[in-house]
Amino acid sequence: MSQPPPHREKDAAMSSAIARQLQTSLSTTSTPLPSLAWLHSLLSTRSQPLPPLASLLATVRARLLAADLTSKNLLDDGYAQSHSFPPQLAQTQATAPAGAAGAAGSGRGRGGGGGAGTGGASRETRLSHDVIVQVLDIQDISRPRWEQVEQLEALARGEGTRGREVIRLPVGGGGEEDGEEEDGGGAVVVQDQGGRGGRGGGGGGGGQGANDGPPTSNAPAAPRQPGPRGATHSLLLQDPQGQTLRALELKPVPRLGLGSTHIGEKMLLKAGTPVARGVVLLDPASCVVLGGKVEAWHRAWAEGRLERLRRDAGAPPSSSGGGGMMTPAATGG
Amino acid sequence: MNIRRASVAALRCWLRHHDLVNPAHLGSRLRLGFYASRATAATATTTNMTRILCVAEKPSIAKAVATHLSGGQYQTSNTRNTYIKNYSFTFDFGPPWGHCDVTMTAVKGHLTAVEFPGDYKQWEFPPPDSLFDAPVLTVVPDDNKSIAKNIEDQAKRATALVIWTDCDREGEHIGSEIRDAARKGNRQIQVKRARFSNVERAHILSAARRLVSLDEKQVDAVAARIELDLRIGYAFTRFLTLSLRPMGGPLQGLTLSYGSCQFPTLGFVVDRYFRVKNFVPEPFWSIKVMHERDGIKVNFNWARHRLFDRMMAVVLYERCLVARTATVTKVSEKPTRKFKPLPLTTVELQKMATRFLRMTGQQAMTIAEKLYNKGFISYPRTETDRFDRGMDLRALVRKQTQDSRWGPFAQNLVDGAFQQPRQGRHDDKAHPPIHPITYAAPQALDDGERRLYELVVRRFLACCSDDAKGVASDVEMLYGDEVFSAHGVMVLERNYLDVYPYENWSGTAVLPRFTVGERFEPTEALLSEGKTTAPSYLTEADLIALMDANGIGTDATMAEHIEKIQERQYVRTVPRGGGGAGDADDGSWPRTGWSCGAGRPRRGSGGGGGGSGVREFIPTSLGVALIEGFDRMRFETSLGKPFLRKEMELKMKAICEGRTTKQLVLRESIEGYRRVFEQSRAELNVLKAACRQELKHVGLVMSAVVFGRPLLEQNATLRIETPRRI
Repeated sequence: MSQPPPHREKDAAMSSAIARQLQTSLSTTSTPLPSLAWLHSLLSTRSQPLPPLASLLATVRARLLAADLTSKNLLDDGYAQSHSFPPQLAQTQATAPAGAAGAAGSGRGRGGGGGAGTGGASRETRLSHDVIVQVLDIQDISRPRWEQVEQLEALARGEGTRGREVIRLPVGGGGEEDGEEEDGGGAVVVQDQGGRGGRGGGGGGGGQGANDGPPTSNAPAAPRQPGPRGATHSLLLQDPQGQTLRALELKPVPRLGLGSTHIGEKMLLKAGTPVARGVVLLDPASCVVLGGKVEAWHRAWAEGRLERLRRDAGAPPSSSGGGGMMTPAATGG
Repeated sequence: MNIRRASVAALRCWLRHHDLVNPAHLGSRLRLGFYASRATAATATTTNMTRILCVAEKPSIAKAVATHLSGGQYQTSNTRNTYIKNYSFTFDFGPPWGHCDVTMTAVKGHLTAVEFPGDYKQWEFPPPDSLFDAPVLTVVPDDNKSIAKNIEDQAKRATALVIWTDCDREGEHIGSEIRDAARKGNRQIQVKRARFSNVERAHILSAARRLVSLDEKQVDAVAARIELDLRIGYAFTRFLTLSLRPMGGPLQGLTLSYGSCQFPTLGFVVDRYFRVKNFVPEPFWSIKVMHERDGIKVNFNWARHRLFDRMMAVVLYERCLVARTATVTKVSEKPTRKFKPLPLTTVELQKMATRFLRMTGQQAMTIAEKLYNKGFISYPRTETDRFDRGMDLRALVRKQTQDSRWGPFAQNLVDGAFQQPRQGRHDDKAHPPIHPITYAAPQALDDGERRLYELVVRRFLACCSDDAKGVASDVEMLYGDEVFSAHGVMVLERNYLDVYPYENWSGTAVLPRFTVGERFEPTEALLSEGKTTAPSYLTEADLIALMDANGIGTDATMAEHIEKIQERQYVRTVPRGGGGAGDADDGSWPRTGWSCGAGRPRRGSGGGGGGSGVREFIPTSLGVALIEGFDRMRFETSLGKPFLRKEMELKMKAICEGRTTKQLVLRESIEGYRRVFEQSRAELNVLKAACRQELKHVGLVMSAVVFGRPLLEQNATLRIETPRRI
């Protein structure tokens, strides 16, 4: 398929044909469908001769997944519109939390009444069509934020814990603050079993509190607290129109996680995905993780994560941010 | 008394009296005094039997061993040291010596100490860092001179020396000190060592007939540690003291001692202190489901346990309610057991003693040593948590049948309920787990001994008993998309629990019958709100566990380090729940020493239960200042962290295993610490700033330099070290 390098018009015609071909191939996959214009401009930056279609496809896919879905002319117009959240959905979310408050503590009475099923639009609906989204934020909501703050701070100091043992970790390896569940770099962080969990008396479950002594398997089938594995994540998702919705990991989605999910990563929410009170409920059957990452977003997110966690936990902001240590200016080096 | 550490005590002593500079001490003094009077137990030797000199680590062991070897037929003579006796008897060692004339005597722990020559005794000059390569002298401290002399004299007439020190690294080194003393009197003397781990008769007799050589590697390892501790301890102590004293105020009269174990130990306390102090409680939400059936209220636990996002919890809760009925997805009923404890190690002994007997680790060790010296329990310093298959444990159990408290239990074991103990994974190859050797009637013991002995016996009997057994039932159900489970246990056989009151198998609950696939409408489903609570301050058991996991000190010395940081006023203990110093920011400093503004622990209902008598460790301002200071110097490895010490410990192990040599380790470690020393000196103002800050916090006005920064509240973030530099 090596083209001779002839006239420009012919080139243009060629590339638009190829663009169309690419679009057609992509339309059968779960990759978001790019606009012809975008494909054009992509192809025009490629030096002739163009590589084979398969590798072009791979390039297109990688570029798409690394792009901001909401940027103009990226996606095919029709696709973008048909793969966005219904506008009323995105609006319901804001009002939901306050209304739901009453539910707490009122026993099962409230459920009995009615309004189940399709009741209010705010209660629960299902997506009538596939929606393409990108991840703007991800949080582990099954662990205290403060615990995560402590862990990040220890990591920044180059420390981790293995059980009760304090271990030294390489500091600032890839600039990636977020070491949880990260398997690269050899920095394995295991949750501190010696801390809160063990001591508090097994979380009220097994109730054989006195025995946190030896790391023997002395707890008969004590209910385990969810470690990083069984974590529940919440996400902030954005569709091509720029509408954002929160999402909740209803059932474990294997590729979701701090350290594995990147900001800007693309996901396809299949038709039928439930949305309750404006919260998208994710499960592995309906949520297809496509991958990708918007480099700049991810960096900013990772850098700001510690501060956000502190703030959300209700802690005073770290006084001097990053570099400003207690060291007097005199001691440079 | 742990006389074993006599040399440390001597150093400590010296440290305390450093001001009285004492230039006149020299090795030569050793020889002076005692030649004139050599009138020790010189029993006339008319026979031609081989003469053997035996030396134990302490007098009580000498007596016990002499008793066993002689069958009780020995003569006692005094020496110039009031505590040391010489016991003479005959004993058949078997070939090649056969029937021998034996003199058994003892030392009192380490015979020698290391120190710097007189011209290094001034603190100011030569400068502290010269101590990294100053000559080091091995001397016999004054109160040991008569003991060394006794050995030297006895050696003159002996063919061989048999060393009966405790079988661990430290004991091996003491053995080498004894050997050196003996060789002064007799250069040709053969040197052997007896391996034993308790002073029970048969064990001692067999040890006497299976003599081995002294393990030079272990001797080297300890020698390296002693030298490093001396150099590093002195250099940093002098550096810290000289640097910080001029800051005046409360620092003026203090000696700021540094120890390579002390500091990481203090580091743990400070670290936890800040975790408690900086803790931010957070609300969480949880779905609680209860279902009543057959008059039993069954509480189901949410598989997600709890969520820290209210909105999300509400969404999930609503979906449960909407689903209305729950479906049982799994029902299981299976036998379960609560494992009996592992055989007892030193660390475990200390942890249990601090938790259940209200002793400090140090007290527990002292008492355990007494029990060992009296022959009631095996050697109390051991890392081993597995019994050798060959040991006759039943016989040991049988000795306990006469007791009124646990006798019937022991009898039951003897009658057939005996089970081989569990095998732990640790084996120091020197000693078995701590266990009772003979029966000690309560009247034979004082209060502390009685309680500790009881603990050792009960633990041992528990080990030889069977696991507690029961039936566990588990029910899992799906309520909406949420998973819930209930767990019940019915205890069928208590077994070891009957003799082991330190544990319990509570939470016993019987579940009513559920069947898979069955649907029901839960009686109650609630969205409950809770709040996280701060961790509690470290208890001694916690601290020991941390030191153990991080290789700080040996199981035998941990308790000492813990005591030391209290003695130095780096930490103090308060009764749990006492809230520490409350808000001691009230400038109460002059009276209470370096009292610390302990923000009281925010403890909710979930805090540690009971706690009567349990004490918690809280750092003083001084302790905080030192650790903060070093942490902020942003070394690759702060002195307040366990890493450097752990390295040293690993190197000692490597020496023992022949993977490196004493010389190499000394060179490497001294260089490492020298580098840290130089960095510390370069960044001294960081340390000073930390002290100033803490002083101010304590309520003292340090007007000289005002450090423009709000105080302690921001400490959490100030402690972040920047990435390492090389």
